[in-house]
This record gives sequence, structure tokens and C-alpha cells, in this order.
Amino acid sequence: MVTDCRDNSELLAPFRVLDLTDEKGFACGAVLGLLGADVVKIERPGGDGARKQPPFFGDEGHSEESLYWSSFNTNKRSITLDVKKKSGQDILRRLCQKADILVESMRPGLLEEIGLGWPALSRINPRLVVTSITPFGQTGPYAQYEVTDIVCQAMGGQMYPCGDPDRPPLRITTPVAYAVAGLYAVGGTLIAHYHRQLTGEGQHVDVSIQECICWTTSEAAWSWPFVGAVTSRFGARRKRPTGLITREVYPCKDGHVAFYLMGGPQGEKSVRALMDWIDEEGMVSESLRRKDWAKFDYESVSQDELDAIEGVVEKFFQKHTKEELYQKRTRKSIQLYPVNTLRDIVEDKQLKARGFWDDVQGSTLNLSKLHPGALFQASETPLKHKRAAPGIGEHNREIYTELGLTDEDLSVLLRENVI
Amino acid sequence: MKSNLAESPNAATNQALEGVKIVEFTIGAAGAATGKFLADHGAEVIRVESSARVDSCRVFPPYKDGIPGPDRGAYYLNINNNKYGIALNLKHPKARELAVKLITRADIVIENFRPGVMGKWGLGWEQIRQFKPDLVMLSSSNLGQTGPMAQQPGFGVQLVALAGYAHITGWADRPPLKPYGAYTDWLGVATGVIALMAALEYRQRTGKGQLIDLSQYECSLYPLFPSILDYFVNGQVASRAGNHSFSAAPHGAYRCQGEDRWCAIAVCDDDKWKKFCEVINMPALARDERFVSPLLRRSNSEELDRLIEAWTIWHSPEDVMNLMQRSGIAAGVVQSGEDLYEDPQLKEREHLRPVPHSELGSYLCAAPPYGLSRTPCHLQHGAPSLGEHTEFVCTQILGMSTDEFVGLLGEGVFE
Repeated sequence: MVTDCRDNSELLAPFRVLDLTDEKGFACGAVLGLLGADVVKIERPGGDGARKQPPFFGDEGHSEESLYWSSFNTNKRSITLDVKKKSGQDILRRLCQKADILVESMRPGLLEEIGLGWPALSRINPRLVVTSITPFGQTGPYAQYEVTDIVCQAMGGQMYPCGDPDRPPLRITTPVAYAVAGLYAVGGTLIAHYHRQLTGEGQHVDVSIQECICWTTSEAAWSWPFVGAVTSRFGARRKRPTGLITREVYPCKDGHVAFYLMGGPQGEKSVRALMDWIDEEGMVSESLRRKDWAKFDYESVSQDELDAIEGVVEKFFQKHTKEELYQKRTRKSIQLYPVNTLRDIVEDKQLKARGFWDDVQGSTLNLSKLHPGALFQASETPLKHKRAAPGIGEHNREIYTELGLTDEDLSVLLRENVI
Repeated sequence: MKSNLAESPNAATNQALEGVKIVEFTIGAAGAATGKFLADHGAEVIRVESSARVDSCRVFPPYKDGIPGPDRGAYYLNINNNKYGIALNLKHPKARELAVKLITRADIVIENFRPGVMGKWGLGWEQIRQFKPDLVMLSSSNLGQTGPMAQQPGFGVQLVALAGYAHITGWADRPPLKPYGAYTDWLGVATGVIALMAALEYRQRTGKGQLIDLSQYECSLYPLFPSILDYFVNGQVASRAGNHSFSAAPHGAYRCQGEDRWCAIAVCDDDKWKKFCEVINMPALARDERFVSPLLRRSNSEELDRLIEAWTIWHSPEDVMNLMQRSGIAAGVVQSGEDLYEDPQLKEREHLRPVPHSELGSYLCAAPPYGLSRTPCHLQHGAPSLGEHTEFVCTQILGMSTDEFVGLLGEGVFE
């Protein structure tokens, strides 16, 4: 292991990342940038297609003001480069010589077709880690299939158990599949990165968005070989293996709260605290007051009894606001969270107390202090957004000059529409 | 107490994390699954448990063949493979001494108890750094280690509500629902792997350890970044709108032939729309003025969806997907657990892999969602039973004599 005397102020400060992704892979590079890597976003001349993706700043779709694009391209520098052109490929090869990680999300096989597949890149720079983020991975019968967010959520099993039984299965309305996969992709990339730092050996990391979504589906995705039964959607309720239907979301005075009635070692304290509180307001029957919550479990309670208790809880919640229920819980230890809107989240005292909202310098949108901050708090190397999302090719001169290109070279490339 | 493992559960060579040593004090999914991804890539993970505090994941259904048991649950088994299991009653001072020994020889500690619990055992960050200053420690929690709400209990299935996901899941005319499962746990797991790998490499380079304070609430907001900016900049509060898309139409889950079977379809532009009309044998629809532009297709989506379902209902979701994909249209089966098990793509990628297991013989265990070309993961052994490797860890890893081990056993250290 060679001792490195480069910049150690941030987790990934000494490393250079080339980001060739479209929306399927943006988040991976953005997170590597948040961790301190020097991330170079490579856009086609004219800019990424996803710069036209909603939501936008204001009502109009101005080309540099997609909030979607800005969100997942913070902490990157931007250059333009047409990698379909021969001279563009030559420049990419030169960039790869000095890079540590390349992230891409093209259709499997496309980079090979232009002579820039993993084996070729590995010959140029054996230390390079290449991460490919694609809908189904590089191999398999669906490798070439087209997706959008909803198709990934469907194929990863997240939709089937989500929704009301009398309507179609549901996705989360806001598209999140690519960002979720992006987070998993960073993990795989950094495992390969660690190995490379120890051995000098780069490799290809093949990320399947479908498999990332499968992980979020968890036990509903794993159950078939265990019990030969599927988990179906049941609205804001859950159907237990015994057939018992339990409630997960309740209406309250000004919105909704998430709570579920649970006894035994994990839930006793919480449900007892809630029942005491309900009792204080005179809403608990004698039999409910005497209930032994340590012994209460889903195996022994009847549906009728459960429905009756949940009915009492619902009536109580409807007398109180989200804020009351959540804040009272502070001293009462009730396992309850409000159904937050984004407005609630922005106002949340806990996030403010932890300094979650970050100030971002140089934002073209004047969004300073508006960015969601660190993914995690690292005691030795705090994470901080360093730059807002770049304009199209904003760093062409800076980066191409570093590479040894002259102004004359650049004007030729510009004329030939390579950059 | 006797281990049925003659050697390390991670004996394969050429693993990216070979030699990395992790001690895990976890309960539930977020901490344990983080350790699993690293164990799959060769790290030695020693999982500390106690019969006095049974991991909630061990008693979470579904169980193998529907028979309850602490070593039979799909949830526990999928996130604890490739690990050693040791039982330690951390309220016993000698158990604490053993924990200190395990931590001293480790690179990483993963814990996800309520903030402060590790401190009560004398194993909080401030205490550990006294004897192990270069440790990388991941403390993963619902709301973070600091702040006015840090001590609040709760499960991931509720945290999804706090993190905004319930409000944006469901139908516009109905109450909020939730994405399936402990969604925020899985964002915490992805982030935990990121934090540990970055901090471990940083330590390799600088010799410095550190504490990672991971709030699952905070990292779960990352995918909502564009909607958060939309609120800040435009005052728009994202809300649930079924399967509606703000750019594509048709867009949704369409009922297909069979019992509760559906196919998701997304038509993103006019060119795809024309192709779509050909696939469903209604080429004239492409010229229908109610549907000629994306905007019109979105505003007349109810009518449009009815027309589409009149076609999809005669086809299996697999046929709908394959027919659409042949014309380059994004479509995919709304897969149930059974569909995932039968999915030829996941089979080809070996997403579920058989691992040997002491009680079940073997079971199918999920692999990480990425393949590393030179150092692929190896799922070698199933999840340990409670204390399965206690003797092995004490005598083979910590070098304890058998006499000493038996003595501690008698004192209730390993309960």
C-alpha cells in the first residue's frame, strides 16, 4: 500500500470519477461527489436529455432549470463530449487514464460497440473501476428491455403488495427507483474501490436496478420459496400470515399517523403508554384498562376484538393533531410517527437541530440553504455539498486544459461538434 | 453450543473484503443487512446476540413451511448469512470484556440500538475510542444520535411515514398508503454500506477511524431531493396521485389475464405512442384526436386506460411485457413473490442462491444487487442460530482455553 499524501480533507477527496450516466445513474456520481470525489459529468453536446425532466424551476421547461437534473448532479463539474464520434472516444480514453472510477448507465453492449467496453477500458487503465447501472444488469433475457420508474418498481416486486385491494397495484407516485438504485450502486462501487486501493486491480461492477428494488421489497420478495404464498396488497392495513388484518395508518385531526397496535416485548410499553393517555381522556373501557399487553399478540387476538381496540385508538387519534400525537409521544414512548408532507419535513425540528439543510455555493437557482444535506454524519470527515449542479459544459476549458488540450484543439473540437 | 462449521463461513479466496473484521450489535434489518452485504464480499462478521433480547427479525414471519422458529424466518435468514453468531449477555461484566476483545481486533463495529444503549454496556463510541481509536463505527438509527427526537422508538414501517413516503403513496381521492415493508430500512442499508466502505478506505489511507452517525430518516430523504427542491422553489408539496405520471401517458398498471395479474406500461412520447397503438392492434387510435398529444393522453387517461385494459385483459402480463418490449415500449410484469421466484432474469443472475443451513439443510438467500467481475460475492453459509459459533469464536478466534470457556459458560456469560 502506497502512502498517499494527497488531499485527505474528505472521504473521497483524492479520487476522480467520470460520470457518463443518464437519469438511471445520476445519483451514484452525485453521492460520490458529496463524499468528496472530483466528479466529472460528461454530457453530450447540447446537454443531458434529463435536463428537460420535471419538476422545473418555475413553470417553464427552461433547459438548464430542471430541478430533477439539478438534484442529482450537485457536486459535479460538467464537460460536453460526443463519445459516439471517434475524436470524442479518444478524449474519453485519455480521461480514463487519469480516472479512478467510471460510472455509466447505457444499454448493455453499447460501450463495447464503440470500443469502450470494460475490457478495453481496463487495458487503458487496469486500476479503473467501471460501474454500470442498468435496468436488469448486463446479462440475462431482459438485459435489453426498456424501463421507466414504474416498470422498475413493478419488476422488482415493490408494486404488487402496495395499494388498495379494489384498485390496481401502486408505485410511489414520485419516481424514486433510480435514486434508490444509485445508492446501492455507490456501495458496490466502493467495495470494488477498496479492493483496488489495496491491490491495484480495477474491475467491472454490474448493478441491476431490478435487484435493488427487490431488496426494498424484502420479505415479500423472499417469501415464495419459504411458504409458497404471496403477499397481497391490503391498503393501509396488513394481512398477517394468520389471516388477521391489522391497521398501519390512522386518520387524525389534521392528517394521518402511522401506528400499529402491538403487544409483547416489542410493543407492550408503547401500547400501554398510549392506552394510559387515552384513559386520561376517559375513552377506555374497563376491560381494555385491565388488558395485559405483555400477553397481547396477533396469534391469539380475534379480528373482532382487534377491530374494537383499533376503533378506540382511531377515535382518540381523531381528537388530536399530528403534532400533538408525535410530540406527546416524546414522554410517553409511543411508537408513532406522523404522515409527514414535504412541508412538515422542511419544518421538522429534529432535522433542523441536526443541521440537515445545507448551504450550497454557486447555485444558479439561488437555492442556497435549500439542499438536503449529508447522507450521514461522519465525525472525522463531515459531508458537505461543494457546488451546485453545473451548467452545460461549464468546466470544458478547465478540464480539457488539465488534459493538455490547447485552445486551438478546443476550437476544432467545438467546430466539429465533439464538445 | 458446538459449531457445525469446521472453518470460517467465508473461506473463499479472492474476496474484495478479505481480512476485514466486523463486530455487529444489531437488531432488526438496517444494521444486520449492512453487515450482510460486506460479509457476502468476504468480510468476517461476528454477530453478537443475547437470548435475553431476541432479535425482532428472528420472530418475524414468513417462516419456512409456516412453522415459527427463531431460525426459520425469511427476513432473518436473508440478512444474516455468511456471519458467525456469538451469544453474549452484555449485562455480565465478563461478557463486556469479551466484547472489548472482539472490538479490539476488529476494523468495524455496526450497531443499531436506540441511541445510548451501547453506552450503557460500556460500548458507546466515546468509550470504545479510548481503547480502539482507529475503529470505524456505524451507529444506524431512526432519527440520528443527536437532536430532540433522537430517543424516539419505532420501526421502519412507521418511519416511512415520517420520511414523507406515505403521503406520496396512494390515490388522490383516498387516505395515504405506504410503500411495501420497512422501506426506510433499505435506504439505511444502502447508505450504511456507502459510509462504511468510504470510511474504511479513508482509514487505510490515513490511519484515522471515525463514528458514522446514520439517521435512516435523513438518508431516506435523498431520493426525494427533486420534490424537496420543488417545494422550496415553487411551493409545490408533492402528493399521492396513484400511478399518474407528469410526463408519460399511457402510464400505469393494467389488468391482465389471470387472477390479480397486472402489467406496468409507460409510453413516453408520440413515437412510442404510435408503436403502442400497433401493438394493441388499434392503429386508428394513434390518430384519435382525444389522444394525439401527451397532454391530451394525460387529461383523457381514464378513457384511454379503459381502452387499453380491454386489450390487456386478454393477455398474460408476460405476453403484454414481451409484445411491448419488442416494439421498444417500457413495460414490465407487476411481479408477486411467486413471479420473482420464477423470473427468468433473476434466475439467470442468480439473485436467490442456495446456502447450507444448520436447521433447514439449505435455503434460498438473496445476493447483493451488483456483481463484481473480479471479486464476485460468495454466499457460502446460512445465518447462524443464536450463539451457533460462541465456542468457535472464543476458542479459535480469541484463543481462549476450553477450561476458561466452560467456566464462563457456567457463569452465564453466553446467555
